[in-house]
Amino acid sequence: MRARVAASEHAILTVARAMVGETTAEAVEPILRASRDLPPAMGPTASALLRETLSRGVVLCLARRGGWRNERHLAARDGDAPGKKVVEGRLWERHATLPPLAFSEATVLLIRWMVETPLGIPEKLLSVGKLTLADEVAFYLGCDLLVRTGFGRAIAPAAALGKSSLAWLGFPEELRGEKRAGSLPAAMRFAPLLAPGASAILEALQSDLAARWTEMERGKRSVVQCARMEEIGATQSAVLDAFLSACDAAGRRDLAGFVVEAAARILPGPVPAAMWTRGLEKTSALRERAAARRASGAFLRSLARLRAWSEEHRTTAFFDDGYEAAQLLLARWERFGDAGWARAEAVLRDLDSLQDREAEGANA
Amino acid sequence: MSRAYRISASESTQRHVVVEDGVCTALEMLEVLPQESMCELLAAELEKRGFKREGDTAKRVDKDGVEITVNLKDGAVNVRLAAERKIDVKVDRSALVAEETQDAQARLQEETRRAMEKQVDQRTEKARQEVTARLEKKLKELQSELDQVSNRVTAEALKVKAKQLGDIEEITEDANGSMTIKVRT
Repeated sequence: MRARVAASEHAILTVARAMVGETTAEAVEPILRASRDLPPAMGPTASALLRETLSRGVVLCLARRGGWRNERHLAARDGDAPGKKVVEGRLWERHATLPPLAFSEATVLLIRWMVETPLGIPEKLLSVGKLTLADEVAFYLGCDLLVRTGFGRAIAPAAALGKSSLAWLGFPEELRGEKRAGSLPAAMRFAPLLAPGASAILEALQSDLAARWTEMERGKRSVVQCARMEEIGATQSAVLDAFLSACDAAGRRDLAGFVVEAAARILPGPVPAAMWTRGLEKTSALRERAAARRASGAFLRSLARLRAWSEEHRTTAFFDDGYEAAQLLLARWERFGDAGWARAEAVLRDLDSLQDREAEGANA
Repeated sequence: MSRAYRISASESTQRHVVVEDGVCTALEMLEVLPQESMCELLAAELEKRGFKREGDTAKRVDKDGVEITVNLKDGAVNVRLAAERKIDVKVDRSALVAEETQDAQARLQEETRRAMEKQVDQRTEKARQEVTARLEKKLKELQSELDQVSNRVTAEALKVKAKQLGDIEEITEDANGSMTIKVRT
């Protein structure tokens, strides 16, 4: 059955559909680039269509992005000791009930902002209230759409996107933007995302997050300014420190799996440290370059905690409560393994050393 | 027929600038012995290499002006090079104006002053780049020396530790830096 909506409403619905993967990023790029005056409210037909697009589309999107995979994860609920038992199956098989996804006005404001602001020159602020779990997903998908359409630079000025913990987990370097770090925002509290029920979202997005962090690491070779590299490093450290602590506290170390997966993709074999610092301006002061080189190792440095967890899992005896969980994590992280940890340490030693071998080679 | 007036401005300055650059790193040393003992072994090894102890740090200034400071407690190494430069800049500007007013003269003077400051900044930056290049050339040999210091200190610490465990029968060291200590307990 066809529905009639106004042109402005059609633009809003198209952006919503692109966010949930029902249309291509290319289809919405002209909408995101242009500016548009939107009426204050949508009509009933368009509102109903938007509700349907978001409610069905987000669920389908999470299924497509990873929920469909037959995987083993730590149980979200297990009496008083979550994270000890292992459950297997697709997302909807592992969780008896999935959390209800209720979108608030924040999601609608986000989509309206994307439609009415010319994102090539993002001057208009986005202001929203508290986010629901569904809003967190919408904000994550919104950031993803902006990055895929080449408007990643619009994310930081939007300010309100920084209220989403999930967006911080997926897009820390975009959210921080070009601004110098002050203290990092309160949105980096990941505990609510790791609560029973809500953690299903993170399970579904493991593959996505691995791809994002791989892209982020590989993107460092194009960073020219030393200050920008320091900024990225500081933000990555803060996000990963907070997230890994939250995983540990919630008994859900399995949800840090994307970090190991990304590390395995970045370090399939020995990789020169220059992969991280190749683009840094060679004429900058040695002090700045050294600080930037150290900062570029932020992601690899976070692997030390995962390595320590791995050592702990190895010593878990078969009669201990957490034996099954330990075995699951050891098996999942085996792909990276001792050789991987060693490769990461080798790169870090190089990044922390006095010499910049890349610059030395260029000057020779 | 309208007239054009030529006005001119000149700015000059003589500055004494200090440019510097530096890096930090840390010595990689295993904690074979308690920190105080490791600290003393490190101080002794550095003194052999021309460092002067100043409390909890050891410092050396090389002939090329590179200053190396090592924190004996945590092994942090600071390498620094500074240089002084005298910068003389003179900038002359002229312009054609319709009216020879104080405003026009003031604007030209300001433009000339900015051009002068820009040249000062450029020459300071060039001096800084020269210091950076000199420091970079030094780092390769310095890294090698610091690696030797780490190895020597660790080797000495192992010998001390071995003595604590029993009687040392034999110590062999090869050219690659590996060491074997036989201890009778």
